[in-house]
Amino acid sequence: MKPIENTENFVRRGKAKVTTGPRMDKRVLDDSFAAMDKTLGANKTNAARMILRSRLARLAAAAVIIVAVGLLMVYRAPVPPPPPRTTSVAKSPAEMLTAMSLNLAWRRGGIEAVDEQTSKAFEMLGSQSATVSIHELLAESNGV
Amino acid sequence: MKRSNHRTSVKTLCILLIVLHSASMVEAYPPDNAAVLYYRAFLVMKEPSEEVKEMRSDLRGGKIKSNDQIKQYIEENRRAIELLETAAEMPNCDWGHDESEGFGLLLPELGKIRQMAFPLIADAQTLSQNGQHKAALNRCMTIHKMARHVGDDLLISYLVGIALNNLANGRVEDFLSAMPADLETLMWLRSQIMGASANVTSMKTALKREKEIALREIRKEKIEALLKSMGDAILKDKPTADAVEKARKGDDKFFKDNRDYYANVTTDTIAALDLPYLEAHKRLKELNDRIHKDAKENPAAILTDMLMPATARICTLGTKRMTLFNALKAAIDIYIIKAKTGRLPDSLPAGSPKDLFTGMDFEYEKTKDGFVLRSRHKSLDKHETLQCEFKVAK
Repeated sequence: MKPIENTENFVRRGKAKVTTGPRMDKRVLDDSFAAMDKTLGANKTNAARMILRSRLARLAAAAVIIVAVGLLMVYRAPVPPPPPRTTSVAKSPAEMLTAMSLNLAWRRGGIEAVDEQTSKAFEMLGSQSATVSIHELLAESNGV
Repeated sequence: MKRSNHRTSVKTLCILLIVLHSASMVEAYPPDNAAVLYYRAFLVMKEPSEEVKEMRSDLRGGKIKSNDQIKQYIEENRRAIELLETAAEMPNCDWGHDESEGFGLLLPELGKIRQMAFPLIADAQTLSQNGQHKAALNRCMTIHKMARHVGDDLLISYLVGIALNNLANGRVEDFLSAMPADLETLMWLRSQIMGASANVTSMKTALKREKEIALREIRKEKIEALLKSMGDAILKDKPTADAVEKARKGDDKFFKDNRDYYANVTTDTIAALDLPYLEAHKRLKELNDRIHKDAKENPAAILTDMLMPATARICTLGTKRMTLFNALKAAIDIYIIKAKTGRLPDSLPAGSPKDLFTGMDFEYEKTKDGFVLRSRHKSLDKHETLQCEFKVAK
């Protein structure tokens, strides 16, 4: 018969006739705590020893650390800004100023998108000089 | 004696010719086409720095007052502003569009004229700040006239015109709140706003012109150019790659059916625009949805689905513009009563212009420093309620 069954039979047969008191309780508790401390201490040493001794466990621990650091770097890195919104669907500034292209801009984002697209087109075309001097004209005509 | 007479006649004739020639030179300006002056204004307009652009925007939004940098920007564009004012007064404006280009038609003036409206607005706000209210309001009227010149050749021109009208009317609302009760200016403004609202561009005209272009463009020999002009958008937006492929491989019947479908949709859209707003919007929304649904099953609807914009939304924008005009007319009437009696009326004057979203009177509410005119219905696209707040200058 196994020890657990022995104990169960012992209790069932009503043979557990033990007289208890404060002194007895204290002695039992002290013994129990002492036994528990001893067991825990022994297990700790064993676990640490096992980890240190096993190469597989060491590799696994290293892998966990690398993965954790990697994850930390990914999540802590600043979120890259979204790519700038493309406003043009056409290639050249002139194509950006056609009826179709402006219609599509309006469908995308209303009058603001039309403003944005036309501004971009004019920016690409470059600004003209508002005044032309005689000196510049003579220089350009190369004395002819 | 005879020779002397002859000489005198020749001299007189020469002098007359010189005088006539000089007179014709004087009459040559302004030319009878406003677009020539607009193009000149575009050439001499100085682009503001990013900093001034931001200030200009803040000034429009009422966040800042006009300052030295804005005043300098206005002065740098003084000649351009003068050209715009002359151009806006002219009856004819021909931008020289080559309609044979179809939807590839170049419309560089749309962006430029929008940009030119901003120095005008900045100038108007500076004038209002200096107490020159009538001159400030007059700048806004110039923008209304520019909007008329932008025209309604296409829906996009029509939309830019609406944006210009709204830009000007927003400032008129501000200036009315800032100016003292001056009956003469108010009466003048009333007639100006009546004139501007009677001369606005028409969505129906834009749709008809756009239909003419579409019927020329929806053809087998033009399909590649049409698809190219749409760029990547056609693959990303609602028309599927499958529909594009069908259009590419379409035969003559496919294009004829597509032209007929487009024409019918335009006819239905124009008919819907005669209805009151709530009904028109419902009809147009149904029509937009039907086109989109048809395009999946009926190849004849494919090109209409690609080309026809959201007409229900455009209808809302047109209604909002006219409702804003009506709100200004109603507000001017209230200011006139205030100028005459010294107090705001307790209710809207009889025959006050209507809120076109509902066809009813505006909701009128007196506030501690003025009054509010409010539409009784939210617009059906963005669910926003049009509301104009007016103050009474002390």
